Amino acid sequence: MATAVHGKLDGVTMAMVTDTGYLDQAVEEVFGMMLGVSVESVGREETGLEDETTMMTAMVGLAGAVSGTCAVLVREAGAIRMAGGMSGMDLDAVDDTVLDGLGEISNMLAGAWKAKIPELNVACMLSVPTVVTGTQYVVHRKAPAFLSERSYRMEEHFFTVRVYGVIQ
Amino acid sequence: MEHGKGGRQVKALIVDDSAMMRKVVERALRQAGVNLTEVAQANNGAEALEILREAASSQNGIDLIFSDINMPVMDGLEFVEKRKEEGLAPGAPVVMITTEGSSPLVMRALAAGAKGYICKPFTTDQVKACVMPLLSAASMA
Repeated sequence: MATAVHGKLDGVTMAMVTDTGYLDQAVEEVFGMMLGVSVESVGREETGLEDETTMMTAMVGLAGAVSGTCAVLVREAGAIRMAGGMSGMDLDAVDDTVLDGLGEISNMLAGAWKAKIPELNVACMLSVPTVVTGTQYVVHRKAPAFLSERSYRMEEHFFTVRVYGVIQ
Repeated sequence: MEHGKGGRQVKALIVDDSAMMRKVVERALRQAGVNLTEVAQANNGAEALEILREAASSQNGIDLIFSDINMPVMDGLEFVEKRKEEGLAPGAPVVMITTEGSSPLVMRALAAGAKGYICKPFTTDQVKACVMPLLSAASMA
């Protein structure tokens, strides 16, 4: 996926932003420290997330040395579990607390991911998170120069983390 | 100086546009052993300034401030700068909470008077290690 055009600026390289090991580390940190649960990486096909009719997508914008998005895709039940684990509350439906919690998780994942890349950490800012809910929606994006994606299992829930964009 | 249960009572102000994070921070402070007797909450820096102004006029002091950086309306950086300008709660240490530990914004916040910062995600131990020395120093000032 590396190209000569987007090869290097400010020390940020294609190899850095497409290293899925950074995503794994970020996910492990956020879920271990904030929810006290462990996660395991799984194949994307195992999640069935793309076929789900009711999904939630939390997105945080990246601007600076990298311009793009960090997105978390999860079913409602998974989002409820995440927000409940983070807040210590017993949640049973998608409400403002769940939306808030999923947004914060995406924010922390984006921050933890870029913190793994020192060249990026000092030269890339994050936006406030946005959470999209609904049925059978599609998030359209301009063809990114890079895409780093991993899927995970947290207990019986699956989620996918996707970082994509261009190196400026 | 002990600030845990039975120790110095602490009134905290937690500033974050996420109600979830305000709850998480409050829980972390309690788990860290801070004897919170009152927790004021603000969605952004503007609300936080209003709370501090009200606290100043009513002699109901705030002992500890936790503030996010990236917030709508008024961000954490502008909040700490205006707080310093207005001399609000001068004895209360300000701790920034951020996902961007190396951000120039954090450095500016520290320059504007913030005493420390905690990167999200964080552990209770990290909160304790940051906050307890600040409360001890504040109580001796």
